This record gives sequence, C-alpha cells and structure tokens, in this order.
Amino acid sequence: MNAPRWRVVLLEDDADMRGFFESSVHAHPALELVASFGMLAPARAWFAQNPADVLLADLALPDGHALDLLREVVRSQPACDVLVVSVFGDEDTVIACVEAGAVGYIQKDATPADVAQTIVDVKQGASPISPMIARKLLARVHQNGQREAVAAAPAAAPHLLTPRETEVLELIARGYSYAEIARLQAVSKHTVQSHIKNLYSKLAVHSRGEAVFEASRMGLLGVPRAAP
Amino acid sequence: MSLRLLCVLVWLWAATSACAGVQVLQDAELTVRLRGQPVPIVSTTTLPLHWDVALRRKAGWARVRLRFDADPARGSAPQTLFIARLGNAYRVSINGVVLAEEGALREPNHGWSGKRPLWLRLPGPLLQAHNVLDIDIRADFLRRAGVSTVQVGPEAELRAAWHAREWRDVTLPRAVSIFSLLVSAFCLLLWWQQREALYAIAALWQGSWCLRISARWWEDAFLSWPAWFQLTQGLFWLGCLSGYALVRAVWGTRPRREQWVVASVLLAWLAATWVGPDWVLACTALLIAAWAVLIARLAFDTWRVWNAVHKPDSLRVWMTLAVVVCWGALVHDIATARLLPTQYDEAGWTIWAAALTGVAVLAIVSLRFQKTRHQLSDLTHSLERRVQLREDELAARHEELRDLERIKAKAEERSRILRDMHDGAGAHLITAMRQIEGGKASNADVLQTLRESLDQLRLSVDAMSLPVGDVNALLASLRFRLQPRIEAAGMALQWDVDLLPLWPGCTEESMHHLQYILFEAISNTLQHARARQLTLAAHAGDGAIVLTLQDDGVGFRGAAGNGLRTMQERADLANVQLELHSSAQGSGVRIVLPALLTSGPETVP
Repeated sequence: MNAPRWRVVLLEDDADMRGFFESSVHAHPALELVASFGMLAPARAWFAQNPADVLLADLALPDGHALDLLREVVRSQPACDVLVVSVFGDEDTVIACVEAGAVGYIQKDATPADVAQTIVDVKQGASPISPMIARKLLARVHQNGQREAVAAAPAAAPHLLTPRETEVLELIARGYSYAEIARLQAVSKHTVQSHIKNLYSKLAVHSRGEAVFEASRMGLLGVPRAAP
Repeated sequence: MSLRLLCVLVWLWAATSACAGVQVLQDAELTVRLRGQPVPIVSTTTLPLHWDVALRRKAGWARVRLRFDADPARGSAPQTLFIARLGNAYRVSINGVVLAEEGALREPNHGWSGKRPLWLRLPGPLLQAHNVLDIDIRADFLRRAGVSTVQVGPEAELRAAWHAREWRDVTLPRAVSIFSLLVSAFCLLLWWQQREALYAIAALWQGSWCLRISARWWEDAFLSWPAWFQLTQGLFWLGCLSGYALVRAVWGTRPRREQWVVASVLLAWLAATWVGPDWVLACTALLIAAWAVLIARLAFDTWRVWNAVHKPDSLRVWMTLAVVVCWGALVHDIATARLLPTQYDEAGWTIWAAALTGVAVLAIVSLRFQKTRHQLSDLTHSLERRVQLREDELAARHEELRDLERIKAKAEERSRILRDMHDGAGAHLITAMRQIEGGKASNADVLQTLRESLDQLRLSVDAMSLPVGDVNALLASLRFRLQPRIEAAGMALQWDVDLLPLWPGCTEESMHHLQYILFEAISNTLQHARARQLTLAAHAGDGAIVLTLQDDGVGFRGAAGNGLRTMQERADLANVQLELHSSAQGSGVRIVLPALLTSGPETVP
C-alpha cells in the first residue's frame, strides 16, 4: 500500500541539532521534510501560506518563544500536530506546551529512529501520555469534581470520568505501561488506549487555556477534527 | 407644661384684677398674748400681720378681729371668705360661730403649720348686716406665723383667686419637689453605676434642695418645732456645702484659701446654732456674702475662659448660672421672711430656683456624660490605632521571618542541587572524561556514561515538581525516565506498585535521597548484574511503605563500592532503612520508609 507521506516542518535554531532531526526525518519513508527553519519569523510566514502535518519545534529561538506560533498553528491548521523538542522534558515545559496545543515532545538525545517513530506514532493515533501528565489530569478531574459538587449541577456530571477510566489514569500515574494495565484489567491494549481517548475528550473545558488544552488532546488522541 | 403655666399666669392676673364686689378687710383689732405673760396687749393693726417681723423672737397667741357689713347688692348670692395664708395654728369664727380650725391652738410648737390658702363658704344664716370675723392664731418662736389680708365676696370671684393661690403655693412647689427628687435619684443612679464623685455630689445637692423646698408646702410636719426648723436649716447648709462641692467638681480644683473660708463659715454656723438665732442669721448673712464673692470669681473665671478660647465651658456656664439664681432667690426669700412686714404670704423664689438648678444639674450631668463618652471613644480610637500599629509590626516581623525562611529554603535548595550535581551528573562527566582519556573504553561505554548523566539530570529536574511524600509519583517518574535504558539493556521490568499512602514526615530533601538511592540501585543492576529481569515492588502495610528491587543477576561481587556507600549515606539522611542483599540468585534492595513505624500508633488520617 502506497501510504501518503506526512509533511514535516522543522523549527530548531541549533544547526547541528537541525541537521540531526532533518536526517532523522529523511531516513523514514513515511515522512517528508517540507521546510526547516532556524528562526520564528520565516516559519510563521511559511505557515501562513502552506499546510503541514507535523511541526517539530524547539521552544527557545533567537527571535522569540515558539509557544505563540504553536498556538497559531494549532488554531489555523487543525490537522497539523505539534511536537516540542526538549532537553529535559520537565513538567512545567511539557504542561505549558500541552496547554498551548502540543501533542507531545521529543527529547533531544533520542535516537534518529526514535524521533521518526514518535512522529509516525502520533500521526497514527498513539496516545503518548506520561505519568506526570496523568497526574495533572487526575488533579484537574478532581478539581472539576469539587467545583461541580459545589455547584450541585447534575448536568455537569458527564464531565466526570467513569471509575474504569479513573483507574486507568491512576495506573498510568503510578508508572504502569499500557500493556501492564491491559493485563491488570484483563482487557486488550487497544481498550486501554480507547479509555485514554475517552478520558481526554471528557475533560471539561471552561477557560481559553483549557479549550486549547482540549484541542491539543484531540490531536494527541488522533481523533478526527470534525468529530464533536 | 409651659402652656399650663401660661394658663395659670393668666388666671393669676385675672384673679387679682377681677375683684368686683370683693371686700378686702385689712383694719383689725389685734389682741396679742405672749407666752409667759398673762396680760394680753390690745391694739389695732393693718393686715397682713407678719408675727416674726412685728413681734420679733416672740411666741404666743393673737386674735385678729375684723368687722364687715353685708353687701346688700349681692343679696342671696353665696358669700365666701379667702385668706391667702394664716398660721401657725388657726381658728376662724364669724359672729361667734367657728368656721374652720387647724392645728392645735393650745399646744405650742405643735408639728402642724398652716401654709395653704384658706377658702370658706359663709353660711347665709350666719351673715348679718354687721359681722364680726375673729381669727385666732398660735405663733411659735422663729416660725413664720401671721395673718394675711382677708377678702370677703361672692364665690365666683374668690374661688378663682383661691385656685390661683393654691396652684402657686402648693401644686407647683410639689411638682418642683418631685422633679428635684427625680433629678437627685437619677444622679444617684449614675453615681451607683460609675462611682464618679460629681454625680454623688449633684445627687446630694438636688436632694437637699428638694427636702428644703418641701418645707414650703409641707403642713403636717413629722417633727415638732424647733426640731423641724433645725432640720430645714441643716438641709439648707448641706445644700450650700454640696453646692460648693459641685463647683469644685466642675472646676476641677479651687484655691486652698477659698476652702478655708468655706470651712470657717460652716464652723461659725455650727457655733451660732448653739448661741442663738440672731447669730445664725448673722452667719447666714456671712454665708450670702461669701457666696457673692465666690459667684463673682466664678463668673469672672467663666468669662475669662470664654474670652480666651472663644468657646464657653458649658459645664461652668451652667454651674455659674445655677449658683447665681440660687443666690438671688435665697437673698430674696430671707429678706421677705425675716425683714419685710408686708410679705407674710409671699411664697418665695427658692422653689423656682430649685427647678432651674434641677435643669442645670441635668445639663451638667449630660454634658459630663457626653465628655466621658468622647473620652472613651478617643480611648477606643487610640487603642485601635495602637492595635493596628502592633499588627503592622507583627506583619513586618512575619514578612522578615518569611524572607529568612525563603533565604534558608533557597540555600538548602542550592546545596541539594550542588550535591546532586556532585554525586550525579558531575561524577558521570568525570567518569566519561577518564574513559576518553584512558582510551580503553569503547564509544558505547562513554555514551552510556553520558546517558546516565543525562538521566540523572532529568530525574533531578523531575524531583523539583514531585509532590512531597507522593512515592507513587516518584516511582512513576523513575520508570518513565529509565524505561528506555532498561529496555535497551534487554532486561524485563516487572512493575508491582500499589497505590501508596503519602509518606508522612517526608521532606523534599528525603524525596531526592530516595530517588537517588533507587536510581543508583537500578543503574548498578543495569551495569553490573547481567540480569534478565528486574522487579520493583512497592507495598504499604503495617504502618510502613516498603520498596523492594530484586534482580536475577549475578549479585554485587564487590562492585560499585563507592555507589553503595553513597546510597547508605543518603538513606541515613532520608531517615529510611536500607537493606542490601546479594546471592548467586541475584541481588536485592529493600527500602523501608519508617516514618510510620517511629511515629508509634497510626496517626495518618
């Protein structure tokens, strides 16, 4: 089957690093590098004219922070998934990027094969969720639950997770892998993934930040953009 | 009340002016019999008869005989008799028939003393063309006795005059007495509540005034004469003394010389009561003079203050006013009672002065009350200000403490990061350098060392956002970071982690140590154990959290001695139990988080 190739745009100011990512993308048959930038401004100009499937972006650039561009791309090109390049993958950066609409991140020390595979996995609907993100989501669900309990509005109840979904989230936060969770719950790995998709889509959105966050989750889960 | 007073005044005016058909009987035959003298003195006189002025310092009996002819024009209209005042005891008879009698005529110094106006209907059959009206009185020593002018006329005319006199001499004075009594009681109540001398003195002043003026209308005294006289005199002096005390209380302080004068006058009066009535009268004159001087000084003082600050001291103004009015009334009353022969039935001004002083006392008390309230409110405000000041100080102190804590936390954080860099990334970088310098290590070895260094750095970064005490989060992050290396080493990781309770007594510091120990243990296994399976288990039970790391490799065999020592040090710092065991079947690490064990009974909610 001659599958279409995903159009990848690269934004990285360090020339060596950019070269590394370029070669990583080139090496994978399912990926096509359509543009590569070291500055924010030309990248922004490019996105105004051209569509893409994936944006791989470093955050700190000589002419500004990439978070704004990230938001613009997520808004103007819903089909484009954004992955952030990070050295540490620390909680603050990751959560900020996810809230801005990123679907995940790639560590700078990843192997070329890992880089390409991560991009392809995301485009194929993988749900890369780290324990720290799971913990944040649990905290958010807990907060929403409290808020709704205070408001005593039964209509808001669908925003809450089912016990099974909460259990999945808790197991992820405790460090279990999808396969282990599937084994523990005697279900398939795909069922676990579908639970994760469900719990993402169920999370309530109120603020703009949360709306963006949810939009990012849509991308994260690979759900068709037109679907409610 | 004022409307009523106005009516009375109009009535008074009407009663005195509209006297058509009324005969005023003034020319009388007077028969006086002094006590201890059997021979009566017969003379003629013109009423009113003011015994104490006419027969100074004498006691006895008098008969006033008046003659009048019936008014033929009035014919059958009922005739009445009106005498404004007579006493002490009296008997009124017409043509030999007794019409009225009050008090014990034969009993000198009897308690009863006539003070009310007398109004009588003259029975028609008794009246003849020429009538003889006899008025017998008993007069006591120093007591206000006598007969005022007698009026005979139609009932319609004289009833009004009688009513007006009754109002002036009895009803209104009683009302004033009650008012003074109420003011006195009110002051007493204030004193009872607040224990402030001013209120007690005001109560005493008003009380003595009230009793003193009651003697003006009190006919049936409970004491006989002259005990009653001594009582009223005593009250008068008490009133003067408490009046001066009130002046002192209002002014705050008075010259010592003035107090000596007051004491001297008082002593002189006490002495005079033993010597005789003329001496008492002299003392009274002295007292009035002293008061006059005092009033002049008070008035001057009040005026001076007013002039100086362009604002009257209301308390002093009221007090001066009250004293001036009292003084004037007293002078008037003493003059009428003791010196003026025609003023026998004059009721006196003291009563009205008493009413005014009552108002003044109320004003003084209320002003004083207001002042006290203002002082209290000022005090409250100042207290509030001080409390606010103290609160601000406390807040500043608190802020300082917080700053200190922040500095301390920063210092601790710095030393922790330094230690992490020293034991972790720094150590690995040095190892990598040695490996490259030595030239023996392969590229893969150096890469491994550098990867380890990066992992350690990432774990340090993760540790910054780990919730303190959340061991689950710590383990999950460790796995998330190390999973790629474990997989790359071809090792299977068995994950058996329960939902753990929060680690009580845990600090950020101990979280780091625990993370380091686990990282070091996993790294050792990856590097030296040649294991195929690694199991990480975490369970809570028996009041402790137990973490175990078990591999199926070849054991330590003396490897990584430095790393083990650091692990032990870190375990001691984190206050956790660390047990290491190694055998041919593999090596294991057991970590017990003993916070629950040492805290005795279960205290975690």
